[in-house]
Amino acid sequence: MNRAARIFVTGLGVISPAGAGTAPFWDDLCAARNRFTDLTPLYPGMKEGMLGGRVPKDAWDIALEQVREQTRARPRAASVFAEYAALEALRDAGLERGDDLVRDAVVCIGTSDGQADALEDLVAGRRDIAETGGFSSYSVTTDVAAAVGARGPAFTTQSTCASANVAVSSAMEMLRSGVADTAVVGGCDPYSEKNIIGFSSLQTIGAQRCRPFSTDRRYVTPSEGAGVLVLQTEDALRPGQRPYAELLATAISNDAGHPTAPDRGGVEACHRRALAEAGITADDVDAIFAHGTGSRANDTVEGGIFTELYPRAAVTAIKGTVGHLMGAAGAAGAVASCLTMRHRLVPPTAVDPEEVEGGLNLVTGAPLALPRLRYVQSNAFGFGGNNAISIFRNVA
Amino acid sequence: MFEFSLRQVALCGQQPGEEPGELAAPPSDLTAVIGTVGDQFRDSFTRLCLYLARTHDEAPQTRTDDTVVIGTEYGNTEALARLQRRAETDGRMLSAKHFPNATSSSASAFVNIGIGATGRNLTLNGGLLTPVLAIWQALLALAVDRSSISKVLIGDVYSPEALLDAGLASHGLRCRSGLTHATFARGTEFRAEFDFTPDDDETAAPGGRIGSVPSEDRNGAFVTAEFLTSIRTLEVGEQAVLTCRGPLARRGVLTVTRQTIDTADHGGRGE
Repeated sequence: MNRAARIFVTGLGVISPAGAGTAPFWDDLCAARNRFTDLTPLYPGMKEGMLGGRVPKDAWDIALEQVREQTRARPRAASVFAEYAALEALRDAGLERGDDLVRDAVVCIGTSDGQADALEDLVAGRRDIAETGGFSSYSVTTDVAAAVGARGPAFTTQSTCASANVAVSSAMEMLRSGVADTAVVGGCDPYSEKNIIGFSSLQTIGAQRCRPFSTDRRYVTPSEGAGVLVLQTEDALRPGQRPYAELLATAISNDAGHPTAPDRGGVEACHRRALAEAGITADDVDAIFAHGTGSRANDTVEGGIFTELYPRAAVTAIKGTVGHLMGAAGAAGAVASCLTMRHRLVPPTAVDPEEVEGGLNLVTGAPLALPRLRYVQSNAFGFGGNNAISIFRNVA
Repeated sequence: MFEFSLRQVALCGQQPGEEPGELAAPPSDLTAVIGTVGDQFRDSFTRLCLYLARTHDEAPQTRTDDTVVIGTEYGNTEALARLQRRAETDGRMLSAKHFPNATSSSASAFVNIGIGATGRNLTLNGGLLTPVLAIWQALLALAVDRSSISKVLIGDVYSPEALLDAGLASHGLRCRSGLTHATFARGTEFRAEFDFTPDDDETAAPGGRIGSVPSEDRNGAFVTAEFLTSIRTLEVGEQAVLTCRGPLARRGVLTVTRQTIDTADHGGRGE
């Protein structure tokens, strides 16, 4: 096992409430522009007017046009999102479907709700199992593998809202171990009735949009989409490829504390582990894409850690703009981190400067230019005490 | 290549011929081991994971840095479906306690809490290759010094919905519920080598096999338990091979070689 093997991000793809592709995603992030809409109540007693982020119809149509024929014939949202993002990432890396580098690639997609529409339709009696196409979470990854023409190891990781970062970590370790030299990795989650019901029962979603790290924060704004990265070892890089960043580490840990509430000690331990695995200190980190859900509990824990351990880092949280992509949240953060490396700009958090909780170095207003940007950190945490943190290095 | 020692292997599952679904005879001490608090919210998969994790190993008194990998095709599907149905019937009276038990990784959450494990943890679905992929991830944690103990829980308790889904591509394999729990430790007792090269023979029958003997079960719990139990009987220098095949020539091969019978040596490292 070559632990010293360097891993590079060479391609990015994303679909989100901002639209299909990295361009509208980056535009919305930099403008702190959200496209949240009212969610339809799903069960007797569920309040009206709760906000969510949906992939817009035109973006869905663009994605559907590009995915495999089999997926188009019987579309399941997770597969449509993930295939679209994977194909965009592949093109962005300058690779083609079935390319030599891709044929034996590791494919790993993190998702919390997987083929939610298929399972939920089956449970509600709206479609039978054959009509749904099946709901196994594995099918999300095998659909991506088929789309990019990969026959190497393929698996789905499920760690609630840390799923995508866990996928990145799992695939990265396979590259470092020599199982493959290329990976197509990321996360996706579709709109899930079960998820909306669950968050509604916890009273964590509402009519006020997500306001990360605001003193006035209250609700999470659930959304949907997918983000995918192409990872390549240094030896697999081709002439002319221009990596976005080097992936130094993705640390995984568990709080082993509470089913829903984050544990400050556990979350902090994951930060320290990520820094140790990356071989840097907190002072080296220039920018952090926070998990920043806008919930009281998460932002209190994360904000406290940033203020105490990372006083120098510029912090931003994109869930006020694109919402909480659930299992794909880490993938959206990773794509945003890599775009930040490319543009040397940290997009702002969609809150007013005067409402930022005390002492936090949160980017608000205009994007923050960081010409000497070196290290970017991307956080993803989830119910069940799941923590996963990636650290990227600038290679420009 | 990884090195490891094997502390324990335990299987809890249906007998051949049982109607697929819930275990007809769950462990008699299930309630004594995992209690009944929250039982109306957690599903059979979480209960069985928690039972095995707490029963067949030393129960640590404090938090550990142990890694937990759960390999499953359908995991907590039963609880996911139940939450959706209960919302319809309970309306605004729906208990908030359903949701934490009804995520795709709820079993992992409650196992980690139940045994105080703070290391790497993931719930992984690799289809028919799940056993080999889950063991790879578990042994990786030992090899990179992330944890000194790494646990895998592999298998499924089939809900009615899961049985329908599995029936879409049965591959001629039977569905019987069961779960295997194994505990790996740093050591040099065994050497594990993995091969994920796609199969030359695209028509090879999907499923697991030990050596040349195919498993009749879709559920990886059974072939995993049989394989890990068999490696304990290997003499030094002997090998055992677990092959898991999926559709489209996807393949994972785990070859385990016994290197020593000294299980007390915990100094091994992966390379």
